[in-house]
Formats: sequence, C-alpha cells, structure tokens
Amino acid sequence: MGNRLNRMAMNDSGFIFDPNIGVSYTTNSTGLEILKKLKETQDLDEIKAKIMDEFEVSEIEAERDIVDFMELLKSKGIIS
Amino acid sequence: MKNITYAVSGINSVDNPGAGIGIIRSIQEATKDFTCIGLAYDAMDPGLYLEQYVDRGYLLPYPSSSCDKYLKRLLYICEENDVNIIIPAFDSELPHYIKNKELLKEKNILMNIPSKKQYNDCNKSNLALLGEKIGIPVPATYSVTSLEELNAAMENTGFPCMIKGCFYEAYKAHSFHEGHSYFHKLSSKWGFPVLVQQYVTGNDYNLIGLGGENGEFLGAVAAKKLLLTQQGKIWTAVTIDNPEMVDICHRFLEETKFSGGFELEFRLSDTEELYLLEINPRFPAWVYLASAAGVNLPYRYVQNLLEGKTDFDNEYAVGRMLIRYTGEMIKEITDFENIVIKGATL
Repeated sequence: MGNRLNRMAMNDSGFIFDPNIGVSYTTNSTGLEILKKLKETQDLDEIKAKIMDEFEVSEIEAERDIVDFMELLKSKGIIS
Repeated sequence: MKNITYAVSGINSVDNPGAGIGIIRSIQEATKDFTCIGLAYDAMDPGLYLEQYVDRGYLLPYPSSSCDKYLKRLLYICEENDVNIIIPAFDSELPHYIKNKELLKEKNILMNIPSKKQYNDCNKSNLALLGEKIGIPVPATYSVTSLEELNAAMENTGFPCMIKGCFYEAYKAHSFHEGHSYFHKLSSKWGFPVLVQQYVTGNDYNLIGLGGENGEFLGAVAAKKLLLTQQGKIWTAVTIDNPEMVDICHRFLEETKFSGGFELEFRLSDTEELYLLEINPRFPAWVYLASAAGVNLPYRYVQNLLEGKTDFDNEYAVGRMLIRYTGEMIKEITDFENIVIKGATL
C-alpha cells in the first residue's frame, strides 16, 4: 500500500483520513504540525525548529514529542 | 427513457437487507419516469409497504420452488404490469433467471445477469481458482458435506476459522464443537456444501461493480466497512479510493466477462496483503452508497440494457459515508390482508 502519509487528507481540526484504506485518526495541534511538516521534509532538525517556533517549547521537549509521535506513526504503518 | 417498468427483488429491508430498496432509491434519483414493481418472498417484507419506493408489490414463490412454478408467477406479474426490465437481487433466485433469460428476452423483458458459468465461477467453492486467474490470494477454502470432511478441513485451517453457508451467512468458529454447531445450522438452512475457510485477521473492504453484457466495465466503487452486523453485513461504510481493488475488479471482468451487478469482498491483512474473500453475483445492500457517491450502478444497468451505453466515467466522492438506521412504519391490517390473500399490494 506504499507510503501512507503522502496520501493522507488532513483537516485543521486534527481529523486525518486515509482515502486509500478508509481509516481515520484524530490528533492534537502538535501532531498535526508534525504530520504536515513530515509531508514536506524528513529533516528532523527542520521539523524540530518548526515545533519550537510554533509552540514555544524547548528543544528537548520538541525532540521528545517528535520522536514519540513518529514511533506512533510507525506503529500504525503511516510512515516507514 | 419514458414509461419504463422495472421489477426488483431483495426488498426485504430488514436487519440483513437485500439490495432492492437501495436499487430503487438509486433509480428514483436518476429519473421519476419509471414504475417500480417490488418482488417479495414474504408478506412482511418491508418493501411491500414502502409506497414511496415500490409502486406495486407482489409475492413470488420461494427460490427453492420448482422453476416452472417460479416462472409462471413471474410471467403473470410481468404481463400484468408490462415489465420491461428485471433486476434480481438475491443469489439464490439467480438460477431461475439464468435458466429463463432467453425466454424472458423473447417477451421483451431484459436483464443483465451472469451466465451459468459466470455464476458458478463466483461460487465460494470455486473462488480459489478464480483468485489464481486474476492474481489475488484467497484464504484456503474447503467445501465439505460431512462431519468427517468438516473435521479434516478444520484441522487444515486451524482456529479460528470461518464456517460459511453455500449462499449466505458465515460464522467464526473457535473449536471443533463450535464448527460442528455452525455446520448443522448452515446446512439445514442453506443446504450443502458448507465452506470452511482459513481466517485472516485484518480489515474488511467491499467493492461494488457492474459488468455489461460482454463484461464491459460499467463502474465500480470501493468502500471500507466501518460497522458490521453480527452477520458481518455493512451497517456503516465509507467510500475509498483504492486503485488496487479497482484493478482487481477490471481483471475479474476481463477474465470472466461477468455480466450484471456484483460485489467483491476483500480483507486487508494485518501485514497489508489483500485477500479476496467472496464474490457475490448481484448488487449488495449498500448499493445506494455508490449512487450517492456519484456512480449510480442501478441506473447504469438500465441505461446499458435499453440504450447499450457502456462509456461511463468512474469518478466518485471519496469519504462519503453510509449510515444505516432502523425505523418503523405504521400500516393497517388490511394492507397485510391484501398481500396475504391476493399476493399483491393494491
């Protein structure tokens, strides 16, 4: 079924729908920003900078959130 | 296309509904000019009382009746109402229609239904062979007619496994004891063979499609089952955009030249491998979802028969949901009386 992230439809409300397999998810604003950024780049530093800037959190907090969230995405087969 | 009268079965809009009401709704949304004759097998089939959909309803003998008896009643209904088209919606009645397709055609009653071979190719016990030809795995399936064969099959599949009736119904068995119980239940209801199928864990998907007289692709819509009844029937579903499923549909039509409405049942395993579980040789009960998403297959069925049209697009809305619900209607006992005594609504 390939890389699922690129085909995901994401709404600003945090509702995410995979039109290929009909599965939907919800996420908070941090998760949504990470997902949007992941669609553009795989560069973790770039994603981290975006989260730090958007949510005014420390580098450690941003990195922890991103790593945790990416593990969750991997476990659901959304990213590989 | 004015003054067309079509007859449709499967108007048992109950907890395990036929496709009839969805078919009628779809056609009504395309045109108000058609007259609908509802064909029912039980005086309490709700479709007989849904006047907003069925202009006139009739009782037919059960599909298990002799072909002569079935045909005699069908011809009476068709002649009384000048029926131009029939849309059969049950697997179990299809053999009568297949056998009498040419005779009905001579009387200007048209149908888009599979041939006997196509019908048999879709049979649960022949599915593995068809799956091989169109390049999709089918869970190991054993056709059994005795307890000895059942035990051997369950030893091969392991537990859980699916025990399936030859026409309808399927149950998940977790032990030999459960398997025996479902075997007796299904064989007494639907006859033999009973099918024992390897259980694949994953998510369920369905595709509805329509083949023209020579297996032309007239449209298909894929959906994910979101909520199921105890019998595994769709209660809530959402349309999806899955090119792999549509591609399998094309290969199915190319291989079989299937004619008529059909449903492909898939399971996407936890390891993301797509399996073909069943092919139903008629429209499924969720047919209206496809119409509401933009691919009105019942109306295409009529257009194909009457105009020979085969060039349809397959654009549809993805993320459109079907949510089934229960409702009640109130009728007088005299309405029931008419059907019981006359075999027809007024």
